[in-house]
Amino acid sequence: MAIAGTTPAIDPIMRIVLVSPFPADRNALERLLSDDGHQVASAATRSDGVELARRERADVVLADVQVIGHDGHALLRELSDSEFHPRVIFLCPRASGTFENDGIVCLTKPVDLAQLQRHLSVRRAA
Amino acid sequence: MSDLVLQDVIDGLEVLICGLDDEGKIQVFNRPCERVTGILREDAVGLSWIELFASGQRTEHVKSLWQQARQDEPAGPFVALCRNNRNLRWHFARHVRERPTVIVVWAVGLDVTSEREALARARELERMVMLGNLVSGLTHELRNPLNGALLQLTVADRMVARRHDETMEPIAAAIARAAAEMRRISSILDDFLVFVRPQPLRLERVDVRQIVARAVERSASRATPAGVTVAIEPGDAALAEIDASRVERAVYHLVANAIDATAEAGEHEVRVTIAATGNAIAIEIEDRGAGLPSADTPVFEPFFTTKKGGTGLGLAIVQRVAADHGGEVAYLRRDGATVFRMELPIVAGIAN
Repeated sequence: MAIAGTTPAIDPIMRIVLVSPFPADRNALERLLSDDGHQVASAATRSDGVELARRERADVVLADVQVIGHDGHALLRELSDSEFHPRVIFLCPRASGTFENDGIVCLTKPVDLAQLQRHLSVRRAA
Repeated sequence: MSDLVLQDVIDGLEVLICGLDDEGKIQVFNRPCERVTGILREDAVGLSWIELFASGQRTEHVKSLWQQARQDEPAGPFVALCRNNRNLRWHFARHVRERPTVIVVWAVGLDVTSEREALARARELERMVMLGNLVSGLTHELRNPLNGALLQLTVADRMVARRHDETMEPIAAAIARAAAEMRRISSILDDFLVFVRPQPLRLERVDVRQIVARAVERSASRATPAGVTVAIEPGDAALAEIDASRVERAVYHLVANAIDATAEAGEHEVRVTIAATGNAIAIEIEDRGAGLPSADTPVFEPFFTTKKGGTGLGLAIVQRVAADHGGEVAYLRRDGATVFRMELPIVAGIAN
């Protein structure tokens, strides 16, 4: 029996930067998402994550709220500039309502991989 | 001032006043003392103050307060529980002798029972808030390792699936079981959170039949291995303004309980009915299990459980969800069946 998300979602291929202080999460998500065909890099801290995302020109930044503190908007400002706007998906211990109200995807832990895959496969509006 | 006027003054005060002689016997006993103790003045005069107001308590301490008072030092406060379980706070004062009298010390008391009860309630509330913070923090912390573990199991599952090897099947099955158990932990954490950290309702107008159907679908993993089928009699459209995810959770708990009771009794069917009644929607979950030991079993109290391995939160959550919607949940026996009936107003907050 499959647990979840064993169907690779290879279209579209994304450059994903993971930002999480938890090695087990980084390790597993790196393996699962690269397995799905994405290019994945990860960082443990917020500043490393921002730097990595800029260097890699990430399409998606998958960030654990624990590394960004309570201000997700600050991370969004740090990440984005005039020509660089990665999509940000937050991993949260539980639904907070604050990010969701601003149209930011917030996946509650434990993360449902199939749900994450669905969010990744959404082509962003040009 | 005449003694009679003085007596009126003493009786009219909202404090307890006792005049005590050299042996600590009551010589003056005002009306408030009568009201609190239920003993008439005639009967009280001559009784030992300690026996009446502080029996079984720190007698030595009271005596030392008396001695203090006799030497004209302020003495008290001293709080004692008297007859009728009233909490009285006493002060002792020396009687200033201008005329010869038997009274040596005045004991002046205030009834502080309700003050103390309010304090106890405030402390209890504070304790509950602290407990809530603790549980909430704990469940948040536990979600992190749980997330890591589940993701790692997903990695293992994919590796096993890629082998296309029959001998891997037991491993795949073990992985699936471990993942299911971890999801169960996650669901228990959710229950605790719902209970300790109430969130505002997110109301939407939905057909309750769909919500019930979703809850029943979720319970399939419990019903199927137990050989129990859950039959829904949906009835007519049942539109209501509810928090769909919370109602689904509540119905799930009721259905899961019914499945467990049914399986335990060796029975096979749980029936769910949904009906619009006046301005409410009634959802009934009926099983032929053993039911509750008695009608006043406190099943809706948090942490009360009759099931092995239960958290005792399921029905407490059901009740919380119903109450948050302005509805209610009830347990009844009908024709030998156990019925849990949840009523939700069609417009949240406006009950029948």
